[in-house]
Amino acid sequence: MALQLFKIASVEVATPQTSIDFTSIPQGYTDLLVKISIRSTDANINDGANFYFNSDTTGANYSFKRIYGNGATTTSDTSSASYRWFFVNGNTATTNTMGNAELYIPNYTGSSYKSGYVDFVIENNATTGYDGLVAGIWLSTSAITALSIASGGNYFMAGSTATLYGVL
Amino acid sequence: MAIRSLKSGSFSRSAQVGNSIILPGDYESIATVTGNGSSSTITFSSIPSTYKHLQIRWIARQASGGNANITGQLKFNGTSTYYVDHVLQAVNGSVSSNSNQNAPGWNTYINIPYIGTGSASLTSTYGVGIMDIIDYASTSKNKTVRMFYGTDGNGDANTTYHVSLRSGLFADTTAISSITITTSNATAWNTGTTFALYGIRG
Repeated sequence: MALQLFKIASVEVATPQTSIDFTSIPQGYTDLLVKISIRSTDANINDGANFYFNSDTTGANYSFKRIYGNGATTTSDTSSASYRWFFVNGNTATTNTMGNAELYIPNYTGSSYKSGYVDFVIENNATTGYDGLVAGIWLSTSAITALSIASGGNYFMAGSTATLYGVL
Repeated sequence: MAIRSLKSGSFSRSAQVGNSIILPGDYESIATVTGNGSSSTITFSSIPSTYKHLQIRWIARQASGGNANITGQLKFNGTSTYYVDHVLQAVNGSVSSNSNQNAPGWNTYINIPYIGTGSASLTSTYGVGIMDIIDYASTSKNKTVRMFYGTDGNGDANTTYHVSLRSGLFADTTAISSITITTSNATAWNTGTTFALYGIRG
């Protein structure tokens, strides 16, 4: 059977909130895919955002390797204790503009540690805009049953969306 | 009894009692446009607004002109303003990030350098890429595009070696109903060039 996507759930933020949460994720798919469009209340062009799984907010259980550009320079960084993997648009970026990101998690029901990759972009009508790639790990052998996208201390603005898909 | 696809003619698993349930997916082909060696523009029109997201998958090559690569110009809804773009890229071994913007003004299209191989590139090679447009039918959001693409030539000296993660902004809250991708120097898309548009329900 050809690869296919199946929508599991979709969330649109109605009033500012600190996270978008998917719970009771079915275990019958091969992989998970999340398509994300978010703007936060942070008074910057970009805002760091978090992924965490099964309500595990212990930073030491996560790590990532990342490369990104800001429209002028490139940065490669890593963390062995953070789930703040990617950026969303902050509230000083061009009005009505939200980040565009995707998280892919293969074998989310497997018994190995869970790996994921993210590609994210932050658009803005100025020199500064962000494009980045991330490889991350959650150091748990548990199947993923819940997934949260959380702000790093701010709020996701109304109109922010995330759609969770199962992949077969 | 097996089910025969009217579109492809291929057979698939039957819906017979006892077999697994066949579920329709949420990823569907909307249209595919191919290069013909004479036209410089790829057009998708009358895009339905019934999906949540759009995705374009492509392979692309310039038909003539003798270049090492080809640049594309992306527009939505026939509009020629309110565009800007940024990129993280590696070109011929050099990694960089830059912007293409005229703030406080706007560009007339989203610029996509290296969208495909040039006619001078290694024979029969094409650039390859995927473009995602989230919430394309929203009437309250500007449209942010994310694309990942590249070209390679197996050591050929006339090919550009390149990979990019590029973003583009169409600062317009109108739903996207048409997309055009035009070569920057009016040379044609080569035969074999394929742009496939998909809708993703959500």
